[in-house]
Amino acid sequence: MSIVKSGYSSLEKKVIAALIIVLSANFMFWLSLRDVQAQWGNVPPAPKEQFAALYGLGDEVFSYRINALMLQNLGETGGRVTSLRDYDYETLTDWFFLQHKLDPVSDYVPYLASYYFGSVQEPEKYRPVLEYLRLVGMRPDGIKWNWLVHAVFFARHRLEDLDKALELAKDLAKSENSDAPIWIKQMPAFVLNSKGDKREAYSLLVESLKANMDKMKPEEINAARAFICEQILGSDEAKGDPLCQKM
Amino acid sequence: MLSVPLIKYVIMAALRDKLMFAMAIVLIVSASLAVFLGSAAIVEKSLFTLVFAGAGSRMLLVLGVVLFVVFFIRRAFESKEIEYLLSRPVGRLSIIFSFALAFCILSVFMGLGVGACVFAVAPQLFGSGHIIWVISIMLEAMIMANTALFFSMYISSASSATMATLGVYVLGRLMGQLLGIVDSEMVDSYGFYAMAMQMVSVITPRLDLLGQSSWLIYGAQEGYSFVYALCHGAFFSAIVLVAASLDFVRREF
Repeated sequence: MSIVKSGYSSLEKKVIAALIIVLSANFMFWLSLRDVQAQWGNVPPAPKEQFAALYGLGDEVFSYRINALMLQNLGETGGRVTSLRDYDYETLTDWFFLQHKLDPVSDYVPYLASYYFGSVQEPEKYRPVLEYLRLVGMRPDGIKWNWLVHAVFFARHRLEDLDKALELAKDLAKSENSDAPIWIKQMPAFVLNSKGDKREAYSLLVESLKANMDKMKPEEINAARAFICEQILGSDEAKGDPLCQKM
Repeated sequence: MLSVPLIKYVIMAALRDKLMFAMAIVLIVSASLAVFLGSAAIVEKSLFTLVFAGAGSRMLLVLGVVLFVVFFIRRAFESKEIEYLLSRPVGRLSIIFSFALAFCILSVFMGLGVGACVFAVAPQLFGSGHIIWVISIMLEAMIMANTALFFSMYISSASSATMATLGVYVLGRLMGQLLGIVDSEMVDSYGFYAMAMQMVSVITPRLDLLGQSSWLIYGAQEGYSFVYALCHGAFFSAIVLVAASLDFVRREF
């Protein structure tokens, strides 16, 4: 049977008083720190290629996935929402190139770079990323050509830089991916048409049709003919062109 | 040279400590975390889940093996079990190598558990790379079990021995990167620190060549030699076991 003492000894009272004092001090300290939050210092500098796999203890693919999740959530943690226009796209592009070294096969970072970071409100900021998409898009495996198509689209419609779009389209046309659709080879013609160089665009598309007719599906052939007859040629020119006769 | 009753004794100790049960719980938590993290990705969710599950469970396997080995050996010394064994007709080398074999057997079974965990999070991505990956992490666990045996023989504190073993593990995982830095133009390849790193790498296992997450999603690379990995594991395990034997043979009880 336990014996409960009545009252407190002087030592116990001193300890209780000290406890109240330190709790109060802790509360005051908490009040002063309550609104202190981590400040986001924008995109951190990307490590050198030699150090890149250290994050995953030497496992490159693991490092890639850790970095990729970090890039996806950059600026959006701890209740913070950051506008894309506030990101440092130069440093972001360094990260993209680094990720390419760690895992050139995955489509995750190209997807982020194209569709997520490509939504930036100031298109000019996105220009450095186009070089990354060019590098990725030139790989012959998978659907990598898709990312270079996005780069051409961005340059043409968002940046309105047709020279850049044409440069990227020419690289796209050199793609060695045997599974890629024929129209990526015809992309320079589409951009040339937008630039107003209709003669060059016409020549390119006609040559493409002649060279690839046996490999193209009927709908691809019809699409190319429709583009020539309705977009490149005027109505009078189309009437006189044998390519447009049956339409 | 080997004592079958001693091997059985170690395995019984692992079962008594509920090592497998604890590993199973930890692997379930690891897999759950991997699924959660993978679901946060915009695309390639299952690949993320697989990589995180693989990398996480690989580290947990090594941690589990190392902790068991270190605490088993230290407990054996502190409770005078070792002295009791030495009073039996069992040679000192037989004790060391029987323990090592038992720990390797445990590593194999725990590695199978890790393989099952990784399969469970993404069964649709199962391929030949999974099998190669599981075998390689079993090798890695065996190497670390023997390393833990070595450190626990030399260091009387269990926590210090654990930290030393895990330090070797981290160094082994990073060694490929560190040697790459030494070979690059970033440092003087013949400077003091670079030469010191080269010397340390001679007696450090190249764990970066084992258990690569890329095998889980892209399959093993062509030309990767398992025989080379086996030899590497065997050579390093031989070093640590002979060094542990040296201490044990010279020790007076």
